[in-house]
Amino acid sequence: MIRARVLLVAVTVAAIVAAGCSDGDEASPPPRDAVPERLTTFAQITVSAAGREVPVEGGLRTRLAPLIASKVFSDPEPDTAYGLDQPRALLHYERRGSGSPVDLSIGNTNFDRRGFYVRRRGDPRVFLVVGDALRPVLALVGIEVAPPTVE
Amino acid sequence: MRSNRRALSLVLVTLVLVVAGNVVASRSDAQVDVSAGRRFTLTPGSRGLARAVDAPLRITAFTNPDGPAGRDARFLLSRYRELNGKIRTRIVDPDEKPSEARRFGIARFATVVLQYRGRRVDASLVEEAEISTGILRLLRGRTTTACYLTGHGEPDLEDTSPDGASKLADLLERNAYEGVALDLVATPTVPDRCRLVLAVGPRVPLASEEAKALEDYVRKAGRLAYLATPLSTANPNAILRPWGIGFLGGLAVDPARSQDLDLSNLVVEEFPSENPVVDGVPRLRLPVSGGLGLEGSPRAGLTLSRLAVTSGAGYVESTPDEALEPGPGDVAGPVVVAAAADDSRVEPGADPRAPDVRERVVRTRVFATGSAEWVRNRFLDELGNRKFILNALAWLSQEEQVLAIGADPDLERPLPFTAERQTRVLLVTVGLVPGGAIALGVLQGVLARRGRRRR
Repeated sequence: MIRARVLLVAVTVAAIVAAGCSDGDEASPPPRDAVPERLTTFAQITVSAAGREVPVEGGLRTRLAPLIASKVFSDPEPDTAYGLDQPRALLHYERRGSGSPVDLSIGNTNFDRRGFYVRRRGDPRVFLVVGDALRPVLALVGIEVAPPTVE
Repeated sequence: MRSNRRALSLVLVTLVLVVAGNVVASRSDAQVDVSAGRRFTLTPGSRGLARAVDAPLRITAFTNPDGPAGRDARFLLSRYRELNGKIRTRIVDPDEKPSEARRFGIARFATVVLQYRGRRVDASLVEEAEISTGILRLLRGRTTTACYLTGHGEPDLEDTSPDGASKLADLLERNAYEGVALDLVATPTVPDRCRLVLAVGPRVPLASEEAKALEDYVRKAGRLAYLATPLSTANPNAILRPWGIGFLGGLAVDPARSQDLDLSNLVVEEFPSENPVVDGVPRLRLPVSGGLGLEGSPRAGLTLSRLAVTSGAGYVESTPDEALEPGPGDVAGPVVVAAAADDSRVEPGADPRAPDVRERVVRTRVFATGSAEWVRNRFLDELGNRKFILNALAWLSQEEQVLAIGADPDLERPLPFTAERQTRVLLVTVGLVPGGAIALGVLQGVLARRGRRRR
């Protein structure tokens, strides 16, 4: 005879495993980072602006994947508010092997210049990315951005 | 049967009491503030100001709505809103609403914009003292005329470049000051309507008539902000020395507190004075500053304040073009880089408020810094620079915050990690919590075994 306690534990474990395996009725929440993928996912990252295209190499690459967002705006204002109607630069991530590339548009800085507004192609959300990650990358294509307001 | 009826009656009575209690509570404004320092209870002064508002007052706090800062802001603003239905408040995330932040010219978090009867005043923090002072300024309904000296290479108030002073102009406008150009060459007299005069880094000497006009103004209960600069051939001492302040010139450097590799890009963290000019100023960025000297024994009625000083490692380099190394001729620190003079004296003359009295009190106030760069667009938003100039202007025009604030919003409760505290944390996190879990498991096993034996 199976003890009730053992049965209860078994049912609980089964439920946990089932919940972990199932996707549920709703899709998983979208990632909160502009580029959640790791650097090893990408064969090459390039930055382009004003007709110039420069590969991002060395230590700068590590800042771009994953590209962490400090804020995500799911219901953003029109693109003009963030400078995404005319992005100042584009980041292109070429994946290793198969898989569609990732394209990021880089817009204006935020009000205190600590971050940049970026949008990932195909994603309606706007991300606010820490400026330290992008400022040196933009410098590669000749875009100098004033440092943030110091607090 | 009787017990059932009794139980039912008890439930009904309880229900009625709960509902009645909630109805009564909803009609009462009584609150109990159990926060540290009762920081969410407005002082009587603030409450009086809020009730005095008789037209729509919009208070917009630009801060992160999530997290502790946003929560505190909501609580504080709701206190004002609850007192007067004409007060509308909202919190805007300047990151999420950049167009609105741009429209209001917001450059830092926690800026509060107050708008009333077509006028605007900005508060630099979401705190009662700041907000209530802003309401007070708006209720007063008058602007203070701040006359800005021109014609000697001062930064242009309309210049939006990093070297301009357009942000200073915006700051004046948003804090109920009317900025007016002062051309002492065209008219060698400071107009009576100038409640205060700003001389921001004149690069060339003032003509003798100009200097005399400024000296006369200051002597007659004037209020002068003189931001000197070592990048100038002008010598401000004829204007400043009568008030106990001297400009030493040279270049103040501070190896211990400077930005990046530039020893003259001072980060000032010491404010040894009780003068309200330094209230709420955490630190300053003062690039390219000369040193200031203060009279050791000022005359009666003259009060001198060392507002900001470098660290002890700072000094005034007398030959900055040669090398930045301490040497003979240099002035050892700590170097005074900001100072204030407050002179009260009795002079013959009638006071309109007391026409029978043949003497009156005349008061002169002078605010001086060894640098003029810190109010240029490039630096005005750095550290506490904006707050510093605002405080200075308010002090000069004698509009210091007069509200008695009961709570201390900046109450800091540092928690030093002493050895005793370290031991306590280890005991709890390593000993007590896992030990407790293990003990519970063992106990459960023992009880279960006993139960099986009984069967």
